[in-house]
Amino acid sequence: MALNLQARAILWAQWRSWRNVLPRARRGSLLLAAVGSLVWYGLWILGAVASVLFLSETTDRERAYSFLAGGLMIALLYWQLLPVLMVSTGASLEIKKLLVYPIPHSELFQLELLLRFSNGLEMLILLSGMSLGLALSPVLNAWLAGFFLPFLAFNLFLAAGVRQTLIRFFSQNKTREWIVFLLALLATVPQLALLVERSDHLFELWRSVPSAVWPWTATAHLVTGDLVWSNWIAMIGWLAASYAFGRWMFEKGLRFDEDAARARAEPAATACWTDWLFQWPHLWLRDPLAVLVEKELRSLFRSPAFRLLFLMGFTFGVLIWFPMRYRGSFSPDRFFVIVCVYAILLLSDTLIWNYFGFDRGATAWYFLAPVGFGDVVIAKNIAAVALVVFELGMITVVCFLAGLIQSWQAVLDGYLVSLTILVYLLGIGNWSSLKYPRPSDPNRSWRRGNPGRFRFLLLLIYPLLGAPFAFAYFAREVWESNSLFYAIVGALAALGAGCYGFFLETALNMAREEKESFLRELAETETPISSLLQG
Amino acid sequence: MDSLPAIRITQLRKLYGAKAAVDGLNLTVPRGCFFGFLGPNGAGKTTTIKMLMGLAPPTSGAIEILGLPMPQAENEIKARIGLVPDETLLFEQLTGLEFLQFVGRMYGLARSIARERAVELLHLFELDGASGQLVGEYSKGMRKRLAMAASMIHRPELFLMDEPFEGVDAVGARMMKNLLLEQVRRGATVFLTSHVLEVVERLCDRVAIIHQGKLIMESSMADLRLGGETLEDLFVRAIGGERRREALEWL
Repeated sequence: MALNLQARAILWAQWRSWRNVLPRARRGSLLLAAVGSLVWYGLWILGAVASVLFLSETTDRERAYSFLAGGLMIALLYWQLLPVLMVSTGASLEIKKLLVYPIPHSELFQLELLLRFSNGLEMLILLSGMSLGLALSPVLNAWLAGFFLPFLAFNLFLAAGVRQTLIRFFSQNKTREWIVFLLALLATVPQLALLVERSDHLFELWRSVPSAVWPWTATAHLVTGDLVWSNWIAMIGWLAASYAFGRWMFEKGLRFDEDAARARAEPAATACWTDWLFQWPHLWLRDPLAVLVEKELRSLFRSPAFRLLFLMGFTFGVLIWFPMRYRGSFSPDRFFVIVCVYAILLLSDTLIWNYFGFDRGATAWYFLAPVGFGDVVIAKNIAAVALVVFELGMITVVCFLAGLIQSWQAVLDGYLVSLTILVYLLGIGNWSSLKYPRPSDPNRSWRRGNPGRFRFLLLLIYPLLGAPFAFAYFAREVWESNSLFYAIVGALAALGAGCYGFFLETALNMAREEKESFLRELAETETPISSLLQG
Repeated sequence: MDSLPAIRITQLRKLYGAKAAVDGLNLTVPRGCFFGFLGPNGAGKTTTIKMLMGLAPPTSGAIEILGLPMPQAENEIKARIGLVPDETLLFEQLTGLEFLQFVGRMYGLARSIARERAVELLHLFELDGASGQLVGEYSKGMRKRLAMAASMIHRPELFLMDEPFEGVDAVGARMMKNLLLEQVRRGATVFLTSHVLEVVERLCDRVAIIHQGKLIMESSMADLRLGGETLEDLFVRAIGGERRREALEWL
């Protein structure tokens, strides 16, 4: 059977999959997607046009080299980052699904490369611009653009290898969580690096590496006509190494048995010493509230999406705000409360805005069981408060150990403000969880549960909620009165309690009146992104 | 070649960690047979089917399909079998029509023929009203019907089906059963797993029961009927299900 027939079918199906996303989306989402695509591809086209203009005008080979080396490095980073994003968000292709069809084993790798190629439209735009620039250049030759081909092949091989490696790692929830967590922490590195006094030394070290060593510099040298042997060797070496890596990881990925790996990784469930963590509700509450809270705590801690956000709250959250505190962007005693509120915002998708989305399997049961729906909602709120308090405790410990606590009064203020904000959020969250339910996968670490319409509302809710608390801090500073601060926060808390009661009542009415549509929304499958041909 | 069995499994074993999902399975499925492969949940049925499909490599043992060794002649085998796997192998972002066309082309059909057959199959499986709908939006029963339609598009000699009637309504199930019986009449072999014992009893010529990875019984339906027992009685007796009632006196 000819490969080209199957390859054509796969590319056709991939194109159809992409196209199918659009006509079915709501009008608002469609418009957003269109504007987003326009801006995104417009930027890449702009980059390509800039390449044409720059290369067609410059007569300085050295400048052309620097420009190309920078552009190729961006291309490489983007092309290699793409599989990371695809796999971490679950929108990944599994070539293993094609194994049920009669495709010769030797040709599977070619198909994988073809699919990696079709994912890199942005890179093709950029490389096309560079090639055209070379053709129009007064000092460079058009045929030198041929050296982009080994660079392209290098990227495809590497992307295939990176992707397979990630799929294997990500097939286990715990590993996936750690990788996503580390990736999130990486986002703080540039900011933190700027704070390190010796960052100049690191930059010097980077510059001291011979410029022919890297794949982008070797390619840029060759493309600008610097055809010395060291550039040839570097390019051929990278190409051979990426092919070996890509092929090896691909073959390993095909042989990889997910069930077997899971069986090895997951020991049989046994009673655990941490069990008491989940049983405390029975000390203070009566059933069914106690058992509902216990169920919430157990479910959330078993959800990778929640665990990741919880972990990020007291690690990533502290790191991301630290540089601003260090630079004096805000008063040091505000640092604690900012980190606490940020942690609550991180947890809000799972705990507040769409809590039935993570629990959709059980939601119909809540309506069937002889339990008041109000108990269910309150149990979810109690669990949310308990987990937020736990998170605040972890932040306190981390900040204390890192010497970031300015005063214990700042900590107390942080707790007061965060918990008062939480009362408002829980109230609105009870309404939004019933008004805008959306199925979410608790196993996907990086998927959000908020429906698009509600995201717009959030843009209003957060500043509106934050403003009175900012005013409380402002009033304390201007009038130098702690009492005034606590009075304002106290008044806000009282108002928050009223707001909570109002929204709870509204939510319970909605649960009675719109039960059918609510359950129907939750019964829908999650956005079908994780299909085969999305890679 | 046609005198060789459709499936011959010898000492097949699949380990997941220390646990044997399939443990020394020996099985022969004659050609032109409607074969029911039964077992309780977690018995090893799906793992066996996955190994037959080439989706999971066996830890040890040998598989021969249509007289050809697996995995040595994997592609030749795959081109001659039709699969109704679990739902995860469907492509949710394609419409029903596009999915069938895609499968047809993957089996080497020309584009026009794949489209023609896809339209006919959608009509046959009463999915023509949903042909433009995304597979991700299909109900469970619709997905099973679509999967069965896809398994037929290249007119295979052997069908491997994992719970093909799960979630399918009575009318749909009747139509699917009749279609499968027609396939057997034309000489194809059907190997299916199902929890619905009445269906298996009515359709199958032979059955095998697997429990904890081991084959505990294999027989023709005719022999079973001679014993006077229903398949359900036999199944429950074979896996020791009767004993479980004893503990819960309060019930």
